[in-house]
Amino acid sequence: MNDDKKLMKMQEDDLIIVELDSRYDMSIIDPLGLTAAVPVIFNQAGCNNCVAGC
Amino acid sequence: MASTVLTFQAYGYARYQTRPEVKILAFDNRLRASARLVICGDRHYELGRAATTIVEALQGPGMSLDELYDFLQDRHPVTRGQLEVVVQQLWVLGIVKNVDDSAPGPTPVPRKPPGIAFPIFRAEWLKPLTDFLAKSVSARALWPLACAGVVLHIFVWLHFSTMIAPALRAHSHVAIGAMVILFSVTMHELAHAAACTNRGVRHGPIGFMIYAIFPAFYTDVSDAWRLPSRDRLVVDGAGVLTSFLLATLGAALLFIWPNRSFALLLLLNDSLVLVNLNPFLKMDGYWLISDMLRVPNLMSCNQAVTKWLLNRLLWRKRETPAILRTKGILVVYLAYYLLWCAFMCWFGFYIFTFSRIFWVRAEEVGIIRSFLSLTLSAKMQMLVLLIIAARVVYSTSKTIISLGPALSKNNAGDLQ
Repeated sequence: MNDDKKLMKMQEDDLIIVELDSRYDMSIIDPLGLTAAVPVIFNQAGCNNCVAGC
Repeated sequence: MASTVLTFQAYGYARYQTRPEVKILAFDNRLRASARLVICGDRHYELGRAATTIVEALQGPGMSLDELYDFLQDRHPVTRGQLEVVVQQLWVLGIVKNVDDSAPGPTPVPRKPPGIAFPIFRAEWLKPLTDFLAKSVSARALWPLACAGVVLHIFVWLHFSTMIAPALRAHSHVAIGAMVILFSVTMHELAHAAACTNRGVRHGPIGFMIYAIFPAFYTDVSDAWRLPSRDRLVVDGAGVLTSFLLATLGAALLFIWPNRSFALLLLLNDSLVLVNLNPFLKMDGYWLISDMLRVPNLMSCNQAVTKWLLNRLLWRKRETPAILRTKGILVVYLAYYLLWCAFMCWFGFYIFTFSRIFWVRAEEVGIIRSFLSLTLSAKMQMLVLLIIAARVVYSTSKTIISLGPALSKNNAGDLQ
């Protein structure tokens, strides 16, 4: 990288304005239902073999 | 956005000033050591050194673009064009305002949670509880408990596995399951909020949202950006630690009084811990990795690396993303990135298959029932519907109450 490019890169980094992600700590309500629904969704389990409630 | 850009005045004499509520703080991160954290309204920005100098210089009575350009020359080698672009960006974001313009200009837009969301417990309602928890619970006291919990977990899982497995099946038809999970998830979120109070930053409300396709509870802890990464880790880990301690309580109760309800408490909280530690979706595990690496906006970094790799495959030369130029974490990051790619492929397939089955079922039982049956177990479907119904009743009654004075005023006017 030559000196001009280095200077341009430095300027870009110095002038950067980035919005930070909003921090929403999320917690899935029903992890058991979710994990139970996986075999249903992928058609690997028949009815009465899961807790998906369908 | 288009209208705001049109009214930006880039004349040399146009005077700009940083809004008084804007705060500039140190920002603990690895990618740009000289960057600063700028808080405007409830939004957080990472600003480079020169951009920060501009915001600082405009904190006084204000400066024209000409004055600002002269001021910057012996500090940062910034061209006039670059200065105009930066000031315009700051103006659009509501960080600076035009002093001479009588129109207020763009103001900071309040942040909103992603997807469909609404608060259930407002921050001011939670404050007495989070204040109490922040003062009375010591992180140091929790670690020995967590260590004892690990031992207890291993013992209980080995000796009571025959009782725990049927509890999973009982989950769909035991009403207590819904209450246990609601309590556990609320405590998980409350722990994040209490950790924020403990570290001296604000927390937002606890609410309900649909994240991707999953019904979830959330807490807004965005103010944790103000903290050093070590303290951010405390905020991130508080939820998982609380769920683990609740699971430990379930394990201890199961050990003393073998019972399916306690097995359910253990099982639900352990599954909460495991699901929340997923580092590839924006859950606790993601924020823990992000703060451990001290890399903000990790998901954007992953996307930038993917874009760069695709360009390389097409023989297009693009600038190497900043994360790949950062020394010290490259191996860890690359391992994380490869796992993220694998997870995203699987998740894409999951969503595709989910959509296919969703539409097939929707034709039979309707859209809402189809969505609920694929994302929640039976009792939880009822609970989620109850939460949504309670929110609708609350919003409607609030609207009616707010309309009351206006209606009575109109009636009084009619009588006169």
